[in-house]
Amino acid sequence: MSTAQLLTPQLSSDEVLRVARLDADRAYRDLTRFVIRIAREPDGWHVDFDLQDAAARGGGPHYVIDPESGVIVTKRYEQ
Amino acid sequence: MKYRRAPVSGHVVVGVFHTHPNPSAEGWDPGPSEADRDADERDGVHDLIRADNGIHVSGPESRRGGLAGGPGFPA
Repeated sequence: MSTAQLLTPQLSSDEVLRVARLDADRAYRDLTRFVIRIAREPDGWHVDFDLQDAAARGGGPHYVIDPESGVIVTKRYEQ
Repeated sequence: MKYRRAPVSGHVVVGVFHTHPNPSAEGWDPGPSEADRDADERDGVHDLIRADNGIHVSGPESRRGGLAGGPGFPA
């Protein structure tokens, strides 16, 4: 993490996860089929909802979230 | 979604079809998901996906191994 990033307030992973879950709940309604992965990458927080059943078709939402503002930078809804 | 491998005597599966009904204008990806691609690779048959912006394809161009093999999906 750079000095600039250290001096700028950063959202916690819990806060980022909440942003993603709110959007995902609205779009998918039922999130019980997914396992959630969250990772801090150079371009922001990546939150991925992947199917628990590896044999199933379909998919979940995938987000990149700004670590300072919590704004969803990109999102992709798999189906 | 899982396909049931319904055994039909003397028949082989040469392709599958499913829909992606959610609108692409609202952020839904109309194409095959990673899980779709993994399943198609596993199942070994061509996959047609009907979405709001047309038809997407996934999986092999034709049934893996051709028409040989037992009923259902290729081994």
